[in-house]
Amino acid sequence: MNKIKASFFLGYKGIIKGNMGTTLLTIAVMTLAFINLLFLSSILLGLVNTMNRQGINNLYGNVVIEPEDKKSLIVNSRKVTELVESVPGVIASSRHYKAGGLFTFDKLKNGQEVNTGRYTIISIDPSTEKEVTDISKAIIAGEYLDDKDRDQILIGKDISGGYEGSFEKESLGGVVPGDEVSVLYENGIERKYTVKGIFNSKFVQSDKTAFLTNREMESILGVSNGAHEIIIKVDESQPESSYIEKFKEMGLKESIYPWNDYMGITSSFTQSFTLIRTLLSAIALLVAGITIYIVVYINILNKRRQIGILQAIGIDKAIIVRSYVMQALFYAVSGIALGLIVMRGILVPYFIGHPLKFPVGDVRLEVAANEILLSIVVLMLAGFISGYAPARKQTNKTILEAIWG
Amino acid sequence: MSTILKVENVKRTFGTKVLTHALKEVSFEIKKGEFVLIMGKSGSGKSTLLHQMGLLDTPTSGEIYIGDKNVRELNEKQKTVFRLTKLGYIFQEYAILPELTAIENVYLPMMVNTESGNTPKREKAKQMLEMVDLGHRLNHYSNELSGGEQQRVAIARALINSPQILFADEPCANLDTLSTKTVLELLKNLNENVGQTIVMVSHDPDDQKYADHIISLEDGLIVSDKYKVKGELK
Repeated sequence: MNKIKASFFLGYKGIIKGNMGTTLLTIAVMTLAFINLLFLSSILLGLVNTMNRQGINNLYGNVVIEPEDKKSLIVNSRKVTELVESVPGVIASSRHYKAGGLFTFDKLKNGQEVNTGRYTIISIDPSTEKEVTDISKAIIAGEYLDDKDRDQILIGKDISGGYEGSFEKESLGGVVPGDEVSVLYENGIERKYTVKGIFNSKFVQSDKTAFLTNREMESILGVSNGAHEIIIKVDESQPESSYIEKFKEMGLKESIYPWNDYMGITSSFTQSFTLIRTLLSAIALLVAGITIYIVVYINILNKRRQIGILQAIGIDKAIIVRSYVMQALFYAVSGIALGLIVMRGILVPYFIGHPLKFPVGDVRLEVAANEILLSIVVLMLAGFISGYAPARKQTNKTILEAIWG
Repeated sequence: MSTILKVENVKRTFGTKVLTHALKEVSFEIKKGEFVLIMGKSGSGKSTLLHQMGLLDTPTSGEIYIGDKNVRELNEKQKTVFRLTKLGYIFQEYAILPELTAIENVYLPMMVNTESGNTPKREKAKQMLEMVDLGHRLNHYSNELSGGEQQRVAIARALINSPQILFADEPCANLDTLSTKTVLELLKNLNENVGQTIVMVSHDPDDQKYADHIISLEDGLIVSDKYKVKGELK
């Protein structure tokens, strides 16, 4: 116990009576190292989470039901939605038909400036869709659809153009609510629609989509009470897999998938970002570790003679080593504490107010608790090794070598 | 008086290709309560000898007994405990720790000494500093103390665990005349009044007046080993 006390005492005095400028600089370096460890990784996590959240909120919900194998439609889809909505935790479900269509927009209505584009059309029951996706909240011009609408269409900003979307050049070149667009479906049917509203979900995958009512799509496809997919919103306190399990237990023969199976390109982004985050964290950690090692090593070199004297008067090597480990840990803990204050108190609030604009949406810093914990553990470990290794090396020299050099 | 330190045929050779024989088969005994002065010119091997006795270095051959313990049998950890509990050491340079106050420097060795029991450490350190006439400098750091004062702090620190032997390696080499006198008289008083065994290295012949056992070294060999009897060396 006395030995631990002595280690603390020597470590404490080393910090208190050491060069204040060096101590502050070391803590500042550790703070920056800790922020470096978390910052970019938090942006990438924010980006990944934004992409995932956008997919859930604007396209897929949490769970997607597709037709049985070798079938193109979910039959008796209303019954399926009733069934899934009876499961506790399911918030809402929405039936979708999907079709491709060639859009034509005659801007001047005289054939002089005609723009065309091929886009995906999803049909919805507008009132139930509101409970599953956020498209209804993303209207930037005009209005959202009504259940009874037949000749009205809702289009994303990357279709309409005019909103500096990511695909402005491929858009219809400036459609506004009230304009008429014609859609040629793959089955040869052509319909004219009045644009009821334009939405901006800030998610490139949904902003290139058009929506109309299921009633209209059923008339085009010549089907009823079917669906190409049913998307389901659930209480996220339970994993999607548990809902899928329950749906299957209820006897649904349709194919059921979690939202992330649909993320496609964003999923590969996520994997790449995770790899980048790991690499950057490893580099940041290495920098932090080397920094604290150099600081402690120089400190120990300067105190070489003192270490020899301590050994000469009978102070155990372990006490001396521990005192330097404690100093290194003090730098690490101070850096971590200050780093957390800067992250939580300055950077996170700043990016909430000023999010980074990405094609997938507004990205904020997201500091994951496990990431913080890992960074703390890793930085503490780096601090420990950086204190231990040079102190151990120095105390392993002979006393006379330490004192006289 | 009983023998407290016995040096038997101790050799110390440095180097691997070019060998330097710092000590060549040195043997002598020190009795409890003696004030021993090891004299010799620079390079005679006196400091090397003190390092062997103080367990700061290991002889190439030969044996050193402190009390009845052959120190060669001690491992590194045991040597550390031995230095802490049985030996005191005063260095040529002021060797107090600059990050600690005078009193902290003194009670540090007591703090880690498990044999010190429940003795109030700070109180004892204060008494030791008062004994070396530094009761008014308890909370001063080394940069606030003169060279002589720092060396007296080192003496107090060396004595805190009541060592069997106090080793002093030219403790006054860097001190002015007045401080030298103060330090040496302090050591003499400790020897006479407390019976502290002291082994001091010096190259100054004037220091002989403080000692009662004088060993002279030349080129790694003892050239004389004399005791002072009624003021005369015999």
